Amino acid sequence: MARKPNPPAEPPPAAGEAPRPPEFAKAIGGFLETYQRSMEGLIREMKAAKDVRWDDSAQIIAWIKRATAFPAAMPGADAKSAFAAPLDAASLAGTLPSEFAKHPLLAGLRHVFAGAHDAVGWGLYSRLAETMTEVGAADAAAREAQAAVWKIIGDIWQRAQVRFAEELKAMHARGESFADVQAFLRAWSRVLDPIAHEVLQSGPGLEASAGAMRAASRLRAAQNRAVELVSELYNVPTRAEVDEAYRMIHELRKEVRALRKGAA
Amino acid sequence: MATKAAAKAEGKALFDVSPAALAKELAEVREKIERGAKLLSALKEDEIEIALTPKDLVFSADMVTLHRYRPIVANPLPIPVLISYALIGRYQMIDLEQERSFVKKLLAQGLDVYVIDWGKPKRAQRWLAIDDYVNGYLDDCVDVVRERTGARAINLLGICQGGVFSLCYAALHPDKVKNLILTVTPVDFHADRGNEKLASGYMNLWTRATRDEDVDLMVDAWGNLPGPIVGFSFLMMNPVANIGKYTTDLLGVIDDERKLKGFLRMERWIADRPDHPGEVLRQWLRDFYIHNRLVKNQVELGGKRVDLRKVTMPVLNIFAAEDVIVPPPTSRGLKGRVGTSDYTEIEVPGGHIGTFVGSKAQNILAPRIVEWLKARIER
Repeated sequence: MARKPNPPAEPPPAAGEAPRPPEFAKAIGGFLETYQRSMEGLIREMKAAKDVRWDDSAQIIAWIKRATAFPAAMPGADAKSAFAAPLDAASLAGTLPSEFAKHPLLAGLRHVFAGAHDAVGWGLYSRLAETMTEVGAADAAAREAQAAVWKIIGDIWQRAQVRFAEELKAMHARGESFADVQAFLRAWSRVLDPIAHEVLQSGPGLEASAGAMRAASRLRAAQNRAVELVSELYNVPTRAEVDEAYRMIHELRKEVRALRKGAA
Repeated sequence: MATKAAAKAEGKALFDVSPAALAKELAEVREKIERGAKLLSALKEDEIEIALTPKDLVFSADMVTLHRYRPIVANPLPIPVLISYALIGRYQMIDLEQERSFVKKLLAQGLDVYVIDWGKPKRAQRWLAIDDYVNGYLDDCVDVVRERTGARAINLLGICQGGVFSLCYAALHPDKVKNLILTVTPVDFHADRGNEKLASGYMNLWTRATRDEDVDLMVDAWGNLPGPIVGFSFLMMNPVANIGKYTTDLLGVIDDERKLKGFLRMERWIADRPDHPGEVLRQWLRDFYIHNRLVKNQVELGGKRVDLRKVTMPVLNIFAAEDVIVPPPTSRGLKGRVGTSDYTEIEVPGGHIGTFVGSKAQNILAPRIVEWLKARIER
């Protein structure tokens, strides 16, 4: 997947200035501020209600409009602009400290607002962020599985060195010697080859290699899920949708073929 | 061992290479590489073309094409041979170079030869299963050859995985197969069990170390298995020899034009690995390698069970003595499992690919096949 570059880092806070909160924290802060301001606005309007002529429909409607005005439109409220900041998986992963992400307040907000979140399209971003976390974990597991294969290769090398040392010792005892560099390399290969097979065909060797393939497949599957979400985000047909279309075409063609064969 | 004969003298140095000799050896290697570099830079693309034996396209369906080689004898045998190669590589291996072309030898022996090129499956072919190859493309090709020649049944020659497809086809459509020839074909995928040999049957061992879920995960994640991964799995079967191939072996042939071209043609074939269709791979690894269902008559294709006892036509089963990809016991596992008493086995020297390109095997393979066929066609 083509990763979007992280937004440029903000300049560090000046000496003595409080550290700036991450983007998401700013957004939540903005939301809470907006909530508080809307409450203040409502109280203010309730106080002002004593001046409203309750027999005048126009005045009543005007009061309702003031009392229920969208908080973001109120002076000082910045929830809208905070939430409108670029919020993709890459920037989220880059700016959201993991401890903050686990904060009960955030989890609670997610829980309470999940439906609205999804309804306005932000749910996709959350799923993408979660999937990118899965990709990261699968990538780490794949590296671990590759390391297990390298360990096996290291084992081959080490065992071959020991056996080659024995071989050289025996050659020396027999009074034999290498006539040229290539003869030496061929002798080394002759020792290395059977050991490589012994180790690769052993239980741990087979498990390491199967494990590497398994981990690579899991990584690929996680990457596929992330790409699916990005495709969905940009309204592009997803891999699964295209595959499903291919499957339908495949089955239809099979049916056509069977009908043709039957008719012939 | 490439060492000096034992001098029997105590205290003799193990490395009997003087600085002057070492410098001379290095200078020789450098000169060899320089000569090789000149040869390589003068080589043109068409000088390392493969599969040059003349042939004509007679049928195509999707990415699959059927070709007929132009006969080189006046009256070829009346019943043609259809060759089905594996999906793992390309069919060009049987016609790698003019001097060592298996196809050319068959033509020279008087056969009428057709070959299926399975092509290069794209993502759109991700859902193709073995059933589609056996009861679809292969059946189509058999019908085309039958129609063109008027033969009720034809000779089918399968190679490796293409041999398995041919065997399944013969069991499902015995009326369309006159004679069945299998070459380096795995049948009993567990026949090596308990008798594992070093450096042999790595794929059999590897698949038995995996689970059905691993195969599902792999196919679901990749769709078609990319050709380079398939190629890598072959490299892993013989890692040290493969490293040596591109170092010491290459150095040995780099300044010999004929050998260098042979080396490059083989590399060209090796590098041209098609992606493996996902659903074929799923069934291939699970049913055949992991669960060994073919010899249990439990493989199902298109809703029909592949019963080897329904293979009632004459069968010639050829295996390679030094085959490490398909160990001989896995090929020989067919014996006693088919429904014909006309069953013949031939062992050829060399390995899996050497069967078709090795000089020793080449002298045996085509003549023995033609001799066996003639005896059955003229009956």
